[in-house]
Amino acid sequence: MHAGRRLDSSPDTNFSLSRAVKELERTESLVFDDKGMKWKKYVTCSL
Amino acid sequence: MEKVCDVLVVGAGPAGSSAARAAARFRARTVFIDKKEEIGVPVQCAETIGKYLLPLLPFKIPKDQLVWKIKGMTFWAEGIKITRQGRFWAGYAIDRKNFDKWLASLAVRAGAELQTSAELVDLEVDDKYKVKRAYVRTPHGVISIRPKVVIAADGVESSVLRLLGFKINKKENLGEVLGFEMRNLNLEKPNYDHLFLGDFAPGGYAYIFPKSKHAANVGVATLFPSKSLEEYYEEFLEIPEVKRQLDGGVVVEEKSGKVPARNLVDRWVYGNVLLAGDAANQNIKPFVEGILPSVICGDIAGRVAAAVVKGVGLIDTYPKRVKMKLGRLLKRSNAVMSVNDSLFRQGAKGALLSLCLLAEVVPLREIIKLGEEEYTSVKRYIEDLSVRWGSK
Repeated sequence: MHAGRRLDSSPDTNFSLSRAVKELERTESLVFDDKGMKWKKYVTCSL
Repeated sequence: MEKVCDVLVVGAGPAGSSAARAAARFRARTVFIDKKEEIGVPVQCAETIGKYLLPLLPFKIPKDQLVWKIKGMTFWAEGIKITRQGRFWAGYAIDRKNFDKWLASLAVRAGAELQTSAELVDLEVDDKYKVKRAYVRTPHGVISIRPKVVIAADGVESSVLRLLGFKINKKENLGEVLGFEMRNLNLEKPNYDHLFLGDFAPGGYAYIFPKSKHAANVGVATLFPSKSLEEYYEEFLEIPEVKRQLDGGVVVEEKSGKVPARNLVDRWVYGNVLLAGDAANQNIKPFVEGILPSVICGDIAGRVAAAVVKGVGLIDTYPKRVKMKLGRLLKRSNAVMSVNDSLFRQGAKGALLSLCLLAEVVPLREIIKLGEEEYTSVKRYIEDLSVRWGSK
């Protein structure tokens, strides 16, 4: 299904989406464990 | 009349009262002021807190403040609905009028002095943003306060920031909310917060956030309005699923306001001024969950301020201490915001992709691939997903 033609997304829009998603992926690993289902312990630690 | 104090907190919302409580507990002479006559009034908030943030709080919230349990969220876009539980989606509804008063009373009990109907009208500042005097208008006239540290917890339209000389670009940095508390509703899932994504809420969402079986906060929150919020709200009310639930409902209170979407200024510390809460954009996106982050950051600001006046701490440690506690969540929050901003530009398809992002029903990379698809393919794909997630 990924062979569809772009209709309402310009290459620029998709480039910025792609970049933003990659950054979000990176931050996901800061918050969640490898499987993405549990919080990392130190996220909710106290000072 | 001149008053001398260690810490002056401007604003007695969640950030300000939490800051005042912390500073007073650490024996700083603390004054906190609010321009409102009554703490917590008017409410400018959808009154939901995320359960995932409770372990980070500096103190427990008593059960009677948690007025309604929220098990999860439903996400609606283009007629498709997906339901999620737990994670970022579970929480509680609170009543801000009571909650803010309770928080302020904690600060007063810790020894802070509260002055309501007290509006900051001027600051005497040196060229390094060090506040020497604050001028506050009260019903008994203008008083001057000489603080060692100031905590700006006065929201998105911060008087402190304005008086320090910052010009806030409201259009770029603030979202707008038109919201109401409604009663006598026919809520279909009263233990779920309901988010609606579409062109009736550009860059944001419309919402029905229940406060009880038949009452909810209802509204539209948008970042990029191109027409009046009233028009968006009317469009939102036309969605059959919304109409059905709100039919016969009565508006009992307006709760509109502005929300921080991006940083208003570059730093959280200027001279002897610490920023906390909405003034510092300390909230977790995409839902702009600001109440508990404000309590957490306010507490840190109060502790740092007390340490500074006692000569046992440095004011510049504040951002680092916030980041130790919330940094990972705030980083993720900014990243979610960037993705959502990109999706907004893709119209109806963007709303569908935004649903995937917020409900976390597809791997993130799949969102990039879907972004290259036509609207109909994306819709069919998400319709298939909703069979899996819709009825949970």
